[in-house]
Amino acid sequence: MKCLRAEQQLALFVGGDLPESETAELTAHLESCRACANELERLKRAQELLGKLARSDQPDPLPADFSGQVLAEIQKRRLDKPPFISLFAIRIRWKPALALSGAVLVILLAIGVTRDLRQSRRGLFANRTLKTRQSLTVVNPGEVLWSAKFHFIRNLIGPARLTEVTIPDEPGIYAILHKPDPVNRPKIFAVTFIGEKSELSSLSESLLKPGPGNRLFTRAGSPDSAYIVLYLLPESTEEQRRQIKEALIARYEPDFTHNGGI
Amino acid sequence: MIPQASILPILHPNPVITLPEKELSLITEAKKGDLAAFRELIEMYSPRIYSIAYHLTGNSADAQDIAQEVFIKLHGALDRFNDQYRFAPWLYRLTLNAAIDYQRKQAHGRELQFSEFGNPGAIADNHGGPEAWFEKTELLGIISRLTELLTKKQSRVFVLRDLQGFSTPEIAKILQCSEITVRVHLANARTRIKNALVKFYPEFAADNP
Repeated sequence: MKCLRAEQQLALFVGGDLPESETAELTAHLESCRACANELERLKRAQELLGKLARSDQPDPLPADFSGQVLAEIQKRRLDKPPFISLFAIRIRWKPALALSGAVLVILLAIGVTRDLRQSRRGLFANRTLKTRQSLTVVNPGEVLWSAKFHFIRNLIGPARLTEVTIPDEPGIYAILHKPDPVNRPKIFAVTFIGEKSELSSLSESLLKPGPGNRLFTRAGSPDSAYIVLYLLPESTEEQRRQIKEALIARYEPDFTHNGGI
Repeated sequence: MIPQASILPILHPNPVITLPEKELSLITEAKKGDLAAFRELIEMYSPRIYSIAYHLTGNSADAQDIAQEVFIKLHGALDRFNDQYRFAPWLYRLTLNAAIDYQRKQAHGRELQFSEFGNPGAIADNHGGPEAWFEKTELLGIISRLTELLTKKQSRVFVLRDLQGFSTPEIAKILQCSEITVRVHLANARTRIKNALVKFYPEFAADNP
């Protein structure tokens, strides 16, 4: 055995971490190599000293009610968080995958502002992975500010100009947005409507082919200025979609809802 | 020539990676939103997590902040955690990562000098041996300053093995790497710390006759 190789083995041997298969060879080497035997002694002294140091160098005791402090901080942060994050904390009692979908859905309202809409037309409704790490701030009731770096979200589409997309025949939650001040505040969206596709269809036949007379788009000025985002939930139940939708409506205060009338 | 296991500076002789039934049920209850169960989990794991954080930072206040962050993250992530039998390694990994994040935030421009261990002149004048010198030296945080001489990977392995007493296979689970990798980092860490002690305390270098 060469001393160079023995050096690393010694550092393991000193703490009982050398595999047995290597121990015999090292022990034999130590019998014949004074330098390595001395090196082992130094390692042992270092380990002993570290042991003493570690026993002396202890942190202050944790506060008696550390767990209470942690729980209080959790509660505090939950209250302080921007509302969209607090939606993550809503305990949704259905399958985890759908619970996650519900959380991701919150993001959908603010995704994709800077995306090139011409690009987004291509395969827009294929199940896609967006790379988005966004931050979302509610600036006013019904208005959200979005800034984005990308992170992975599936089944999420838009915002895209409503006039430029074909809505797929799958269940999901839809939101109609517009930019109240596209020149000065291009990243601010106002939430016009949140609902399910079935509701949209029943409310307005013209919705999928928006026309100037449709009140849904009066806030946007024209259908060309309306944006749509949607989160496809192909395996969800009606009840699950209803819960997600209600949470979003409560959060984003859209101008219109199904019940409020369009 | 074979070293005794007792020389290892293990502070927590029986670290537990596999979970007893009670902890499994606490995790299940905590996942359902039971705050009392979550509180019990905090009380169960906080000493160890606090200790790991302290050995990585050398500062009680920082370690407490890190421990708190770990449990807050745990609370947020519990819903998504499915493999309860890997709970402990996962939690310890969370701790290591939180400590590293914390140190990164704190590390602006700070450069470690070995002289932080004490006045070199005082070392030269010392005749009481290294232990006497260390007894006279401010001990607080010294372990963490030693670990700062290591790379991040080395210090994680060193703290877990030599200070916290986890076994090599357990550390491999925590760090999600092979046992061979753990041993390589461990050997390098021990060698580097020994070399530092030899350099600044020459008595360490003395060979046996």
